[in-house]
Amino acid sequence: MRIADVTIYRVCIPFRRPFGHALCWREKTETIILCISCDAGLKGWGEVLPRWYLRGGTIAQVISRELPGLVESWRGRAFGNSDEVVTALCAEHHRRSCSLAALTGWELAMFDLAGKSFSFAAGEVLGRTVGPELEAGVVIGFDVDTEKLERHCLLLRLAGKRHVKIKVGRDNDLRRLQIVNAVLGPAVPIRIDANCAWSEDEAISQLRRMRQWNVCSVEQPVGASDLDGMRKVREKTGMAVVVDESLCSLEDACSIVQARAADVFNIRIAKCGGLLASLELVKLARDSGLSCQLGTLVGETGILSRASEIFGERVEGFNFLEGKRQNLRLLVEDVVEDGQTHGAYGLGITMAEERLARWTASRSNIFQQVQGVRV
Amino acid sequence: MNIANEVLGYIRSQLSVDVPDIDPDSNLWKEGYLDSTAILELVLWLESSYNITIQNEELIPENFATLRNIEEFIQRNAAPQVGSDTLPART
Repeated sequence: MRIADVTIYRVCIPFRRPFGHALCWREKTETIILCISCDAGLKGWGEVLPRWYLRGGTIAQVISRELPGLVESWRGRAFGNSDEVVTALCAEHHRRSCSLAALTGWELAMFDLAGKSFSFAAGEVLGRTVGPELEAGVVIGFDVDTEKLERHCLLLRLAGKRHVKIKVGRDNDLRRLQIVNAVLGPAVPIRIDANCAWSEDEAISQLRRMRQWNVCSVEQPVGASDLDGMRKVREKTGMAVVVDESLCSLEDACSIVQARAADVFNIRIAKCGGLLASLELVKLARDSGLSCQLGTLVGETGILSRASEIFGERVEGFNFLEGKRQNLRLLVEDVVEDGQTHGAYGLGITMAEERLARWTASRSNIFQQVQGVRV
Repeated sequence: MNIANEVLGYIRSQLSVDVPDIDPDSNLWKEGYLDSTAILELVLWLESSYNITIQNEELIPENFATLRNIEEFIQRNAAPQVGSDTLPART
């Protein structure tokens, strides 16, 4: 398998409804779809979803610098089996030549392509045992108005949802938590996510008041770099602290463990550098006595969402997948063919190339650009 | 089962994907045909299509777990149009 071509699609897809939290409000997704082709004509697909607050850089940086840098490094390389691909990707991770978001997209596209070339499922790089499909965890954002929250929760209850997280960081947090708890009842513990909205003192004060509403954990109560603040929140409230914005790389994870800043790692494939890098984070968490939860990024297409499903099926220790299949409900149209059944090799997805073309704002062949060929 | 067929048509076209023929007594939520957001959209569609208002206390499995439950709920709550023995026209 020799890399023969690399095409990137800058894609913009509107949401059916907005989604908001303390750091942003979104009404569309802007993402990069990456297609790596080999000399046999097979295609592998990946996705890069940069987030500034997750140190993913910008779309422009990824397109103009990071992906061309990866192409420069990988073009012309040939692989004889899946192990060689894994070894090369591990080396790329250690080289850390670009953002974790870009590495994620590159890794997924390579695993998709290699899986099709050498007849293996991408999940096999994580483990041989396929566990049960994870339940979907749901997130209630600021887009759900407080006056509609009771009905929203009644529908969650109707659907039997047991894993619920609510975004906080506004003046009416207590009222909203009261509504959620009243509808869902004591059997559904509530996780809250502040997305860095509070100072250490604010977090401690708020959490002491929120405890009465069956809150079991708080995600990212203070800023991403404030590990000392996170530790104090843990110690002074006794509440389990989940790290998200603070946790992207393995170095981040080591710092968090050393600072005793968290109880739970929030693993999200798109921000953590892909499947292999996420597995390293899970291993570190286990070795350090921490637990993990698995989630998606709002605005992922079916490519990244499928990667999260694969991770949850192959890596033990998760009870749910937050945002599972939200791409189907949130995006006006996904660029991956819908379906509950997946192909055997690679990521197991089928791209809907007509839909991809419909939502592509710009397309470029960086392989030819790097080679100096006029496109 | 006209209403059930209409609901199934809506689920197929607007909410879900690769939905097979669903037994009228299959649980839509437990079988994974619909997620919570889809339920929200379905309820809104039922209200507008059948000109009904669904109260919060009516959002219970007995009314919405299966296609048969939904059909029976609509039949109980949708007023027939004057001079007609059918339910309001769908939009």
